This record gives sequence, C-alpha cells and structure tokens, in this order.
Amino acid sequence: MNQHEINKGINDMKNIGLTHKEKNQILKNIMGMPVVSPYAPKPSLWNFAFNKFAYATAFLLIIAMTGGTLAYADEFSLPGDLLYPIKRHITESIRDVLTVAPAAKAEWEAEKAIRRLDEAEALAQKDKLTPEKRDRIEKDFDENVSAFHDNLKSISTSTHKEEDLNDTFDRSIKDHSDILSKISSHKNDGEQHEVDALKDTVVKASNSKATEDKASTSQKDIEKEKARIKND
Amino acid sequence: MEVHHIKQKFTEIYNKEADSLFRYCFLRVSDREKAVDIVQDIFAELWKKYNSTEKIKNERAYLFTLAHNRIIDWYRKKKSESLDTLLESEEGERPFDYSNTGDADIILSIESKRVLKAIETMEPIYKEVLYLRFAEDLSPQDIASIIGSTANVVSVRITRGLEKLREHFHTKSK
Repeated sequence: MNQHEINKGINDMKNIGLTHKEKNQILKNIMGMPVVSPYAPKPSLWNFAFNKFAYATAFLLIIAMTGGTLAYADEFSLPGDLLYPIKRHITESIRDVLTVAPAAKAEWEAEKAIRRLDEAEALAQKDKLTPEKRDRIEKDFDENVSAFHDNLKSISTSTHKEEDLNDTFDRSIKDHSDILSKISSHKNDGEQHEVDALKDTVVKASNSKATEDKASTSQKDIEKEKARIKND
Repeated sequence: MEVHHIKQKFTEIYNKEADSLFRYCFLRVSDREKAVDIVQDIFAELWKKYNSTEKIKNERAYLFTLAHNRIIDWYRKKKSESLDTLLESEEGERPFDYSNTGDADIILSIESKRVLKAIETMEPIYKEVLYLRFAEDLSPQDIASIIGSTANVVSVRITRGLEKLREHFHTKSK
C-alpha cells in the first residue's frame, strides 16, 4: 500500500456520516428540549399554561403523587374514556420525544399501531365501535404504519434489525386480522360493517408492506452486487 | 445575543460537525444506534451551553472531548468489560469494527478498511491521535485537550504513529 492509497483510505473514511433523516431528527429533538435561555424573552403565564412541557411536568408530578396509578390506568383506557386523551397526548407523546434511535422509533410506531388495533377490538367487543371512532383509529393506524416504514429505512442493514422488526410487525398484523374476523363473525350487520371496514385497512397495510418488501429486497440485491463489484 | 441568532449559530456548527462526530463515535463503538445517541447527547450538551452564559473557546475540541468522555463512559457501563481492562488500555480503547459500517449508503473502500485495520494493530496511545489528526484534521493542541495530554506529547505520538503506519505498509518516508 503506497502513500497515495493510504491517503485515499483516510479520505474515504469521511464518507461515513449520519443519514439526512437522522441529522434532521437529532436537530429537531435538541431544539425541542426544555432549555431555559437567559436570552429568551420571559414567557407569560398564559404561554406557560399551553406549553407542552408544562403538561409533561405536571403529569410527572401527578404520577409521583399518585404512585403511578393514573399512568397505569390510562394505559387501559379506550377512545371515549376520560383518561384516553392522557394516554394519547401525554403518555405516548412523552415516549415520542424520548425515543430517538431509528430502530427504537420503528418499534414504538409498530407498538402504537398495534395499540390502536387492540383498542378497536376492545371497543368492538363492547359494541362501542362507532363509525367516528373507527375512522379515527384507522387514520392513526395508517399514520403509525407509515412512520414505522419510514423509520425502518433509516436502520442499519447489517444488523438484521430491520428484518426482525418487519417480521414481528407482520405477524402481529396478521394475528389482529384473524381476531377482527372472529369478532366480525359474532356481530350483527351494522356492527359487522365497522369491524370489516377496519379489517380491510389492516389487510391493506399488510399487502402494501409485502409489495414494499419485494421492492426493497430487489434494491438491496442491486446495492450488494454494486458493492461486490467495487470491492473486486 | 438574540434567540434566533443562538439557533442559527448552533445549527451552523451542528451541520458542520455532526457527521465527523458521528464517524468518530461510530468507529469507536461499532454500533450505529449508539453512535447516533451519543451524537444527540453531545449536541444537547452544547445546546445547553449555548443557552447559558458560559462561553466555549474551541467548540470543535469541546465537542470531541465530550464524545471522547461519553465513549469511555459507555465502555465503563458495559458489563462485559472490566474497569481494570479499560484503565490498562489507557483510554478504554475498543477495536474498530472496520468490516461493519452499518448502513447501505456507506460502503468503505478497500483502502479505508486496510488503513483502519492497520491502525487497529497499533498501540492504544497511537490509535486515537492518528485518527483525530488525519481523518478529522484536528490540530495537536485540540487533540491534547480532548485526550487530556499536552500538544508536545500528541505531536510525538503522531510522528511515531505515522512512522509505524508506514512501516506497516512498507512505505517508509525517504
């Protein structure tokens, strides 16, 4: 290896860097930190009341005072329940902020998607799955599935984490599709329609994932072949 | 200083240094996610400094010092490695996993892999100074402040390390 090759080796190392998405996400997380700057204008009491972190702080204080009972209870709440907004906008929002790495984010988005299906199933079993609630759950589910796939794209391909997460999520989606079929078979026409409509959304998410997988595998094969040729 | 100026200045240094800090962390911990976490942690610390009245003389050296310390902390937390081993190796060195760059968009050239492999075979005192000097273009003074040494010691280590690297590749300078 001559001096030129050593220099090239050192320069090529500089190709290692963050992805565009990782870079933006880190900056977004940092800018969202609750840092009190001596240069910042003093916030009014009104602004403080509507500050997201004020809610989070208040919530943490409540948890500390109630021994976590409320936080535990809100985890089991369903759309329409008193504690449901706390579950969605505080408990889950805190985890949104605290989850940083792409794999952890993907895992969390998958968990949220499955949570929405759990809620829909629980509502359907109690005959409380109204068209409005079903529509809201479907929208949230689609958003979570989309965010899950976006985060998967940022995960390292050498760790097989992407494949593991994909497989786990796929299995969960299929399980929930079966559960919804069983629930639907025990319902009358009106309720059956809501459950079937939700099931269609779940099946659609599973099918689009399969198509994406196929395209992604082909792209990876091309990249691997390119790398092999380059190294040869 | 007004808030938007602080944000602008912070964003500038973030865009300038994030990749090199990530590279430094990634090559030391061989774990992409952990490296991303460390980079976020480091810039969060800088962001706090920006929002305080404390002043930082050399931001680049400051960021690399934080990275150096975070990496050592990370090794210390790892149960599989004893503190004794870390102290013996002076800075808690861990072999570069040059074969695993961890991202489809990053494919290390053969030359890079060979240089990293050669650096890996060297004594711990040369590894980091060589990497910081040549891959990250840091001055001996900056490196000295990062690893807690003097510029003279760093310069000597760079010279000797470079000599050893050339010997490794049988390309001794004339």
